[in-house]
Amino acid sequence: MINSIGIIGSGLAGVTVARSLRALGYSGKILLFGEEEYHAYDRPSLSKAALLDNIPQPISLVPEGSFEKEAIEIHANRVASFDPDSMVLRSITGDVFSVDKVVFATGLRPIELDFIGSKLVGVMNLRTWSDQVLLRGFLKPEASIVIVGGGLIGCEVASTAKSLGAKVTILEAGDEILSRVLGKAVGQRCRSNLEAIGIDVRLRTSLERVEGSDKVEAVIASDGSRIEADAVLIAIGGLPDTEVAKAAGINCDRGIVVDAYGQTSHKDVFAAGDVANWPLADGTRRSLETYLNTQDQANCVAESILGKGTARPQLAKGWTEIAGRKIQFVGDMTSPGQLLVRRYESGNSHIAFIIGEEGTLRSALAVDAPKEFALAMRLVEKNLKVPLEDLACPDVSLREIIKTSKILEKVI
Amino acid sequence: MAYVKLCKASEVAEGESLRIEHPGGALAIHHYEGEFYATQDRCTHDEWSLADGFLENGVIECSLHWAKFCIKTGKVMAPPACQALKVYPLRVNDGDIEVDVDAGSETV
Repeated sequence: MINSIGIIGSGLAGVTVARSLRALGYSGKILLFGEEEYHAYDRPSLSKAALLDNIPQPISLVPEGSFEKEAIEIHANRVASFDPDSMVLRSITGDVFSVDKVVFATGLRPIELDFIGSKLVGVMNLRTWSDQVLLRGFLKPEASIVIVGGGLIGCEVASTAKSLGAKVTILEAGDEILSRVLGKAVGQRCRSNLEAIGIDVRLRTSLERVEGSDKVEAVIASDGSRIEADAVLIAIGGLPDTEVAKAAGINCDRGIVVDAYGQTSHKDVFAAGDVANWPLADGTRRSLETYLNTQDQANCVAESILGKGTARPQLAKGWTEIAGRKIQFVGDMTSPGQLLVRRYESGNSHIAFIIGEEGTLRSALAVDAPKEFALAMRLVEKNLKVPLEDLACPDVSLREIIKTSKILEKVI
Repeated sequence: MAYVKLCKASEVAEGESLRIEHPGGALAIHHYEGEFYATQDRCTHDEWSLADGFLENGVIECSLHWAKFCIKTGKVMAPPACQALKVYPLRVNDGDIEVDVDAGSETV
């Protein structure tokens, strides 16, 4: 009998677990711990629409009053420790909560860089709403911002900052921006697009130090160059927030290690979202840091807790907006295979597929083709063998291809 | 009751959605398992046409950030949206899709 479930983290993962538990009919206690001012808000937009439009408060992911209506107890508090033997959670203020199941939905913490000038006003990260408010204050026309790290958040903020009239420089330590998530070829195209709108992208360059008396005045890069700046955004990624889980003896390795049901090394402890090192469909495992996967994992964890779980190996799915282009992807774009590009007549919109040796679709990435991508995503998900000449021809609809492939599958 | 003819039923293929411009806000006409449904076209999360989305099992998925809504009730089935869609009474009259455009409501 489960009487009480403690969920640590009130972002998308935590709140989805809580609401999913209620939707599945669980009527016991739900304690949701979140240390931020706002709970369950739209985090991906912090580098995009929310930042651009300067909205007064974050976009909520739940209708007003849902926590009360669904009897989800919010505790605006950080959990300091968890004792898995007695199943007790302790908050930093010393409050003690006895629970039957625990879900870690603690997400990522930004990777801290240690450099001269790291404490100056204007050096920041972007993970939370309050980070966004701080960053927004610096993004004025003619202001100069240096972004350290050419990943998704760095490139998204660069695009937004440029739209707001700021002067933007990206420092990327690697050979290409975005290559870890989108692959080198896409990274290169995104770099051209960013450069075309006037963003200075410097590869194989990192941050040496930041100059200034109390606030940021200039950045000294690893090549010795000096860039005058009002703000520095450190966007080199995050690390799973495993502090409490690790201290509790839960198995952690680049995140909290879970099986495809979201269960950790302790039978009553689960994890979902960015903090979870979750098994993937291709046999590997990692933390995915994407919106759809987080939702799927959270729903899976709620089902698993109530004994209704099914194994849910993940296929990465995400989106980004860079230099005004909408990019959506499914699967791993860095995986080996043949590249096939399906081009559409309008503008530069296209979908790139990676085809595996066995002729199935490993991954897909769409540029400015959301409607078509919804279908491409199903093709990759269903792991169907697809006639490649049809796939390359935009006149043959993807819907038609899905239907034909399904029929072929049945015949075989 | 002010039913207005918006399009022909034959213009919306089974499994598809069609955007119809209207002064009070664009509508989406969905054709699912032989039945037609009318909802507001704009996703409640961001500026995007739901008719551009993916219709499956009576649920329309926004193609921008993959929020999901029930086309019959307007209910949110997946975030990032949190506000329900307006749904409109619809009837098929002699091959025409007619919608009571003034009677849009959030039923959930």
